[in-house]
Amino acid sequence: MALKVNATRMELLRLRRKVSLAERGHKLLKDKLDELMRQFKLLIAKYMGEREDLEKELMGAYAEFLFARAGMEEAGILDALRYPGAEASITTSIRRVMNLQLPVFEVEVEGDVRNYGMFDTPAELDDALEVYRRLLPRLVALAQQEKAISLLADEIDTTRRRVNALEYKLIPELQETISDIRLKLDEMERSNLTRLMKVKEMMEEKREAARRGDR
Amino acid sequence: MAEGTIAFIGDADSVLGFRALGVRTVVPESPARASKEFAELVRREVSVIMVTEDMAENLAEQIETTAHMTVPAVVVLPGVTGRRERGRETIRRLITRAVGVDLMGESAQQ
Repeated sequence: MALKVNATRMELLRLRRKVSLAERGHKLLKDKLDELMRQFKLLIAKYMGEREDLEKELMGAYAEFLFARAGMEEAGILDALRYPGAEASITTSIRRVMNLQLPVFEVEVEGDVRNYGMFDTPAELDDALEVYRRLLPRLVALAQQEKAISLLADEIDTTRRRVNALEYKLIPELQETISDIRLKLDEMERSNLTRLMKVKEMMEEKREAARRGDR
Repeated sequence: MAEGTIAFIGDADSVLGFRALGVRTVVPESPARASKEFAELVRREVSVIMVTEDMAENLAEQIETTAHMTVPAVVVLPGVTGRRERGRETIRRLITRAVGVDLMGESAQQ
């Protein structure tokens, strides 16, 4: 027997209810998995190639910045950047997909990145910082996408595990137990019946013998 | 949590430029320090944490623990020292695990 239970009618009813519950749960989870998968594919389609492009541009920006830096003294650049003139602020809102909360970011860079004197800094620095400024919102968008992907991937994984556990483990096990119990009950029924028939036969024989003795 | 900040952990060369944008830059001088700083950023609910690939190597475990949190969103970026496709690999692994098929690999071949 798949599960250790008493072979009784009560148990049979209980198990039947359990199976129908498990089947309903299975269907719901499967629907959830389908929807998660759909969302996931949409995300991936949008995400594809984003990172490659961005990494390349970021490397370009680094190069530009380093070039600008090379034209300055170490202390000079530290001074220039010590007090940031721009303020990058980010607003987070929540997007719900099924039971998940995905962050949605909005970046705003306020103020001027050039919060330093014009004379002791090369023009290249201005350009490099401008590139950084353009890149920042896209980097944040990338973070948002990757976050959504990783949260969804995780949820898909656990949901699939649950679906499979129900489909291949719990439901077959319950059904096997149900059929075992039914077999056992039938067997008991039959043995009871034969016993009754036997008893009846014996009683009739006795009565027959008594009647014959009477004569 | 509404008004968050962006942080960037990495070596000075990579990080410095973003400072002018008002990004919170963190230049840890040792791996132990890095993990402490990272924990602090997570605790203060910074919205986005950018990490250079070099740093991410040391922080891998801690980054993993933020995976199921809504914030912070951690993004691994190349530093000035070059690209090693770490960020890409991480996402690729995630996708493969979730879908069972390497979706990104497919597109690379097309």
